[in-house]
Amino acid sequence: MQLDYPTGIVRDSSSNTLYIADSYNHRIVSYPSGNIVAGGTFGFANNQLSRPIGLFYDSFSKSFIISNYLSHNVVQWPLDASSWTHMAGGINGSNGNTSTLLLNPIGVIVDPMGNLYVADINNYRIQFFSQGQKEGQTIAGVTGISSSTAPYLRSPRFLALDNQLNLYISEINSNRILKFLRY
Amino acid sequence: MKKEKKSKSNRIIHIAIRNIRPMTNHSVNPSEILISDQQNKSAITSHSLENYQQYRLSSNKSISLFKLPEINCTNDYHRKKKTKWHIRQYLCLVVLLVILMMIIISIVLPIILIKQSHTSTKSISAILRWNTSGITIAIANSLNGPYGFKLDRFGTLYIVEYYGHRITKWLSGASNGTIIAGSLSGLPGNASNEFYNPADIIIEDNGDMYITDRSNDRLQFWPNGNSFGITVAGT
Repeated sequence: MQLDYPTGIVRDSSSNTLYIADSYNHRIVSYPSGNIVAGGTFGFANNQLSRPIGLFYDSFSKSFIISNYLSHNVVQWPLDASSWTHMAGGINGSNGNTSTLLLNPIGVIVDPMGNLYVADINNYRIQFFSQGQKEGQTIAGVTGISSSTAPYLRSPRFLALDNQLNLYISEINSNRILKFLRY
Repeated sequence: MKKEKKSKSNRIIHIAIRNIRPMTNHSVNPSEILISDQQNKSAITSHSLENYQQYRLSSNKSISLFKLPEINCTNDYHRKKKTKWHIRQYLCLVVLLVILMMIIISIVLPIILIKQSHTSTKSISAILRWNTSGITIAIANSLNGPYGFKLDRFGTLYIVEYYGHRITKWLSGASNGTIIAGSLSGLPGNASNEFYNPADIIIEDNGDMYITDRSNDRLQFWPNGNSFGITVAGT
């Protein structure tokens, strides 16, 4: 199995299979079988991916949540499906800094209620999308302002949630992990 | 003068003006007016502007006409009857208003209550709120480009250092991490004990790790406690 800049990696604990966002091959591959489970060619069509980087496996819906860095959106690709459904961000590659758009999304995560969290890295913010909603709310950072001091973010990459839904963010260029308390 | 007096009957009284002031302001000083009927003096002092204007018009005469307020009229009997009737009307109006208010409240109150319960159940995002300022839980001079990370139930952090080319483990509250995989030098490489821009990590329950070694285009398996990794996918 060839890989080209593999980035995000997730595990489906029910089958103990790993899935890798094979970014520059624009696909999701499984380990150890080596099957292509999503994408394979670059593009904006619903059977294509455009540099997937962030990857999350939602065991409730049995689907992958994938961030497309170059088409500025987040898509949901059910396991064993041959196409995605749009979750958040632009369609056909559009990008921006409004509540419905993203600019180079990377980290993606879904909580047990189905809400989506996106590290919208070049808008320097974390966007929250209520389950099924296309309009996001900024829950960390300030749109368009890059800074290492609170409340700004400089370079958010990946996200995590603990069981109390506190939010964790890795800041690649300011060398720290941030914790945002839920209250 | 006589005619006018007749038509206005007992509502007209005579007054004499002692001193006429230039008409520059609209207030009248009651002390400047001599009133023939002393009983009505108190009523005159509270004259309205309208009456005063009448006084202005006729001020060049020694005697002018003033309209008296209603309380000074002589036919008191009819007046009393009329006020009684007014009180009844007012009472009816008040009762009607109270009834109307009660009807409105009985309609509006349930609507408000329903709306309140509706919004409190609808706004799930109100429950999900985060502090807008983050707490730094891992920072050190040695931490170099944190990318993927995992947090276990004890609060231990496993951080993939994209520019430090290694994996570090941070116990909860620790101010420094310990290197558990990758080069001690912090330099990139493609040897089995090295990484080149590692990005993300999966940690098994037994502590074995899978790491995407991004710029080496490979997936590394790093058994718990090992000093080197094994390429399981890619080159």
